[in-house]
Amino acid sequence: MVALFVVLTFLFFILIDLLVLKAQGKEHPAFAVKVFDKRFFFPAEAILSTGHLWLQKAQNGFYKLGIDEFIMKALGKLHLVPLKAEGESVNKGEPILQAVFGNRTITFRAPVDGSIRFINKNINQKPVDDPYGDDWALLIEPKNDLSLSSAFLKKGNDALKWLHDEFNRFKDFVAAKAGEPELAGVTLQDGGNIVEGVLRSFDDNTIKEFEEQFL
Amino acid sequence: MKQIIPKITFWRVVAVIIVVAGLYSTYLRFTGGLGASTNLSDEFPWGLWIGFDILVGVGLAAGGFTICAITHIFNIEKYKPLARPAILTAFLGYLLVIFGLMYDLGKPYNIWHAIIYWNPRSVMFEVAWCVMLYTTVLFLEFLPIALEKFRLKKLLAFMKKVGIPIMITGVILSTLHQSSLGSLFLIVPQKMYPLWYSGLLPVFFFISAVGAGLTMVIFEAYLSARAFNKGIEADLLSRIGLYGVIILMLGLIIKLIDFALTDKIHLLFTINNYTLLFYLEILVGTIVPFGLLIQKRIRENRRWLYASAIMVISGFLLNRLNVSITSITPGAGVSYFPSIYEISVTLMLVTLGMWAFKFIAKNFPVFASEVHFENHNLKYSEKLSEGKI
Repeated sequence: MVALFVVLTFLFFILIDLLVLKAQGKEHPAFAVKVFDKRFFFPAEAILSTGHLWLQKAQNGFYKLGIDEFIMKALGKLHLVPLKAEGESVNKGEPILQAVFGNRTITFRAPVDGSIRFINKNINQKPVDDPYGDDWALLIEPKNDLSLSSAFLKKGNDALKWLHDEFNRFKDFVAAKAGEPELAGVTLQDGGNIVEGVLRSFDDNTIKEFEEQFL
Repeated sequence: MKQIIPKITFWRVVAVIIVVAGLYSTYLRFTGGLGASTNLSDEFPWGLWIGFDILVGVGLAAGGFTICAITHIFNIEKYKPLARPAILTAFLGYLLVIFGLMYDLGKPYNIWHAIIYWNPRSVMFEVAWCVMLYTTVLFLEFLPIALEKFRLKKLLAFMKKVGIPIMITGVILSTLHQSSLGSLFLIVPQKMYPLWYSGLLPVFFFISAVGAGLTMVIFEAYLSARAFNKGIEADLLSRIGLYGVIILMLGLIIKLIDFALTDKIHLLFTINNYTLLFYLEILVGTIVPFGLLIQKRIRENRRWLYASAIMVISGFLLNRLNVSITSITPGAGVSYFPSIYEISVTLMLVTLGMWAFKFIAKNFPVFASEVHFENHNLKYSEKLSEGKI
């Protein structure tokens, strides 16, 4: 009976806590909407393009390429579809990858000139879950040496700082677009925070604008 | 102006009442002795303080060594955001275990005897040494957090250099004493109800501590999110939850094989309160959460993840208290229910632990985002001062 008593006491405190939060009009984290916040992770050894694609040196002079965490947070659950086949070459600025969310898409552009060497089969089967890990998109062989002096490739703290700036820019973008009251409710919860996957709440024109301004 | 008197909230009032009651019970315990303050007896010498404060406390602190092993030994970097809160929980958990033990020992002022008067044949001797050493290791694992806070860079660099051997030592010590807590009960086979007695108790204790310890990391993350209004690493936690229930299921399978090999299967079909408690323990603590968290859709749902963590912890509480109290009852020939003073001391220890966690988490870089910003800001300001920006 002691065992039951202890467990019931534990459950009693949890229940009371839920009731207290409810009385205070607050939300328990278990019931909260995921907030898109400033906390970003970016691998130290990778480089980031201003089109929200990252590159990381693999073997034989090839580079892994994938999308960053910012896109994940802005779009929520998404699938990646490569727009080039293995062996094809691609020029900087050409469409290289598409993110599919619901029945809509956004297109990423190649950060460098090069050839596609391999496509990660992982991304065909499941939504992106680990953008810097298992769910990279493809292996690319850049035509020229990648140099960080190039303004569009960022690394380490610069990449993180840039992601924070992008977050602030995105917050302004969302605030400006959330004119309709019902959209504002979805997007600007918790005194100005935006929720993950917020872009899904917008119309096609806004998605297109996002693509033009951020990718 | 900084607020000196904290705002009165429901939980603060409850916590103060609990601590005041606990302090009174402490006074009674140390002035009147165990007889005046507990329902313990010669027939039933170990009660709530051993069952909950020690066996549950140590087990739930196992998240510290498990996450350390994952991040620092197997170098799976993505779980690093969970490491510091897990280490802090473990460190405070062990301090409270030692603190709680002082209440249960008849002569607490002799607690240091294990250091001088060695008895290497005793399991309790091993537990005492492992707990002492592991608490020291946890302090060393926690130290970089404090050094970062006070910007003691040279010492911090040194601690980072010796960090891996410290972590490995911690994992070894934890493995030893998590299992030897189970070994404590090997010496009383005739006193324990056979559903909970097994020669594999050390293995069961170790496996259940790893599984429940991982789940405790989830529970603690939700508590922190609630207390500090911060986000939770839902992706990492859902995976941790999956690993936890797989480990617990493995433990249950070993247990059932052990039942078969030791001719105890019939006990599962003997209907009495013990069997019902055993079923409750494995259903709530392993089978149901396993069935839930094995499904990706469910473990990625915050509510279900939280509910599953609560179930696993409840099952773990049942298991440890069933082993230490329920299973002893028929053999002891007397029943035991903790006195109000035993209960209030235990509640006070939990409350003190939560206060300490809150204080440290507020004042030191414990959470990943703060660590990141702390490092980022440090590097940024260094570069600024060097004229590089």
